[in-house]
Amino acid sequence: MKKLCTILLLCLSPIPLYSTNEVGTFTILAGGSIGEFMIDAGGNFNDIYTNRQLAYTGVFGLGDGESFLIGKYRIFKATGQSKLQNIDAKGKADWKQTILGAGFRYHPRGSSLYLDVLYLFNHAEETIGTENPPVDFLAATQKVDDNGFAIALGIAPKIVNPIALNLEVEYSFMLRKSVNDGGRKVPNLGGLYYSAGLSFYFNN
Amino acid sequence: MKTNFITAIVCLSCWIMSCTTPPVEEKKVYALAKLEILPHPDTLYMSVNETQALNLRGISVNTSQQTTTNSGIITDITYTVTATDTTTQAIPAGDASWSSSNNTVATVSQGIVTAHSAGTANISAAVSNVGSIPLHLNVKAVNTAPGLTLDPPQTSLIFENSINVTGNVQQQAKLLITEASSGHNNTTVSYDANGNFSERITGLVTGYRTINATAQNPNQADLSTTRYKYVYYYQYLSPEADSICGDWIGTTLGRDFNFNISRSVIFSRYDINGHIDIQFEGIGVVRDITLTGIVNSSGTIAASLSKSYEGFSISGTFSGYFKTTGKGQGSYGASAKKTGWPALSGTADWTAVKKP
Repeated sequence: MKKLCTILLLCLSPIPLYSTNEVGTFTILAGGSIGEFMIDAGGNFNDIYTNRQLAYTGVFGLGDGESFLIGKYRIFKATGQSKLQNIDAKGKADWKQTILGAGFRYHPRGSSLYLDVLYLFNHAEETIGTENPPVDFLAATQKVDDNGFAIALGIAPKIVNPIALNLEVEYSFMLRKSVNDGGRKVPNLGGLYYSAGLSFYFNN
Repeated sequence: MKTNFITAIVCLSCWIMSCTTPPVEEKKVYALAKLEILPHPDTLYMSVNETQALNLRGISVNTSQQTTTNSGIITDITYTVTATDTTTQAIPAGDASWSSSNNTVATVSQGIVTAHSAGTANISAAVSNVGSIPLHLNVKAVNTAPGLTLDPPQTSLIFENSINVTGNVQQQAKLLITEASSGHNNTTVSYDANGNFSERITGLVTGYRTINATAQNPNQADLSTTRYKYVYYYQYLSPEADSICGDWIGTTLGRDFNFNISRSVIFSRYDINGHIDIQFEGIGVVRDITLTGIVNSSGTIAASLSKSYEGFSISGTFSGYFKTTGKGQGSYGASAKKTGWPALSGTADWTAVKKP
């Protein structure tokens, strides 16, 4: 499904698309999408967080139908089992990540194809412990904050004015690697994000 | 193509990171921790010109550490459990350096102590910078009352008509033990080369009994030392002995615990049942460990401890004796075992009083 979305987006990009927005008119953009966040935090992430929920993203923007100043907010949660050594216990792990992005969206000539460039404020919070038996001294919560960039390519063909179907693929990466309390470098918490949703383009 | 390339990079990163799992850290250290001089009564009594051979016992501590880790993506926790185990072994006297705090009173060489004059001195030994607990030496002139000590308890409750009286007496002294109801009247008691003795008194008559032991100077009988031991003797399962039945409140390491003593009609014995909280190094206090056993006819408590707790299997022994029908004391030792954990132990003394 993810590959299909990517291929679809890449194939659609060179096709001249019909105009969806009136260029030069003040336009308010609002929308939401749901998708899968393929976090780049190394193979351990997939080993530990076997129960990854879909990520939810909200977008808001102001522009002239072609260029938009936008903001995005994303929430991603996952649960799984932390890795325990030398103890007969079952680990548990909870992951919560919020990404706030600010940047630009560009619809060439108001077409349905668009390109987003965003600066990111990333916040990740992880809680690990043991589930059975509960062992207090093996439980802790770690929080990290870092910044990065994201670039997204998508199409938003209008179903009926002002509603547009939204398909998007985004890649994000963090500029610097944080260090946790134990001195270990935090892996890159960006990654690929495939999403589908609805957008509303309100204009005069 | 780009997607495949990124996926390949992500997979490669995953594989590299999976190889950085921290190694298991486990190390063991063996070290001599304590030296004891044998025999080790509180005070060793000797006469002038007497010699005595001393032996050494080393107590080695085996320390093992096991590190437990819990790892997430950005969170790591490391916890190290340290377990200690002690072993004892004889150390040749010649391997130690010996010293006397007062060479005028006594000198010591290769573990052989020689008394020179009346007075006191401390005898010490050391091996590899580990020093012993000093042995207090009391040297008496020939014509003085000989030293005598009786092993505790000074007062005990028994349910059979016999008891062992043990202790230590100064060499060459004449040791006499008397207990009126059993017919022991100045019975001469023998002792070993270290002055240790054990005399079994049988035929006690029920009630409150006094045992006295007297060490006489062999050259002058009126120079003597007398020590006393007191015994409450009630027949097993008699109405007097039944006074121990009921609820008891115990104390160990500042924590209260409870047990109950009841008379079993079927088995003709006294059963003891209760619960105790025990502190284990590494996992803290484990509560409500089951205590179950019997009260022997010798007046001693023989009980076992057991509990399953979050994967740990806890077992141990609980022992003790009664000072009166209303007071008891003793000790316990328990171990907690779990796969992947070093053995943990909890040992302490206890005292108890019967609820009114």
